[in-house]
Amino acid sequence: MGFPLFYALKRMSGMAWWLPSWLRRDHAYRLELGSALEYDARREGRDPVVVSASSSAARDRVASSLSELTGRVLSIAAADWREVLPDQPLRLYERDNEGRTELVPLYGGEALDLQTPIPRGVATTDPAAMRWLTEIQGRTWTPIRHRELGTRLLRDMFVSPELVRTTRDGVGYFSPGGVLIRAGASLESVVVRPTLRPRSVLEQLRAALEPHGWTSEPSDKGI
Amino acid sequence: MPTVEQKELLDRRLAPFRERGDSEWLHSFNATSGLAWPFTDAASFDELPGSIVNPIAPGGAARTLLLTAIAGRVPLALHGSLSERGVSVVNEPLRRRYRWASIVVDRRRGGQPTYPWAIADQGLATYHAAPWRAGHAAVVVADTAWDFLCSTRSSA
Repeated sequence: MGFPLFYALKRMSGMAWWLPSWLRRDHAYRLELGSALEYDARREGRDPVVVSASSSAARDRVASSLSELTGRVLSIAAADWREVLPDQPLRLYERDNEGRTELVPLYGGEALDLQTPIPRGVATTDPAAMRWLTEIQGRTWTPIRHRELGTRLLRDMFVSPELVRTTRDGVGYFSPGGVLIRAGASLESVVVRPTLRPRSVLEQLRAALEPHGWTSEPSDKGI
Repeated sequence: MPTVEQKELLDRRLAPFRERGDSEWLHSFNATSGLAWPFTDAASFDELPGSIVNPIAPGGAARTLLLTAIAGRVPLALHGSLSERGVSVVNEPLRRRYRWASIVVDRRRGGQPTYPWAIADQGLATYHAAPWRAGHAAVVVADTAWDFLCSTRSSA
């Protein structure tokens, strides 16, 4: 899991490096890595750590020998890789179109006709060729992360779980969202306006479990 | 190669970028043909950079993998599409290991050339929730370049 972990951390935190065994023998890479650890990590106030998802022994060995490997005097500790996953990962959004908090009324427990944001600064030669992801984030409600729930929460708009899923902060869906998009049509005319129906924890558990033959009820202790 | 179970897990986690009814679509994707639903073909953006520097690793699939992750890569099919749109693609073979290392360690120096990822990153910016905590700078240790293909292969 070394490379995927490196890539995820690089994307989520903005600063990570990969050091498989063959690169530990690469003098040029070791020098460049040592310089980055000594100056770049310090400049941003980061704690340099060594992690591994595949071998804690290799991790500890590298942590204790990194100064020798890089030719720098480094204070660097070994850590569990789960501890360095950022609580708030960096994300790529369209510049100046990252979305704003809006008050949305509920009618019968549903938020109707939610506005799907449309890319403003980037366009394709054929408008119908543009695709993007939209995420609805609730202020006081987040769903359980399960692939069965996406279509239950955004009702009637999405018939396939391939187009919608629950996320850490809400519900994400594929945009513009229409299954059939007429060539040359504008994005404004084809983009979906989904309806969100927030469900209770129990309703979500039932939706996730019932397809597998399970039932769920609150315990008699009320928990 | 990944097992059937690993591929199924990957497919499930990729929703909504999963096309129903064709479990092989992602795994056969190799950038030799044009993109199809559900991806956006970045080569079809209205605005493209005038020139792209396409760095070429000094040898070895793992060096190429790391370089691609950091700077991107222009495969042949994309090279053709970009040329038709008037984008100049300048191949830069990285013959010296120091040059390769300086790119993949990615120290955010100013004056960087326009690498291939700039095509897809057009119009995007990095955002984070407030308050921002810089957190860690992680060195990820692994035993082989390919340990993600078989997690049980690792050794101490």
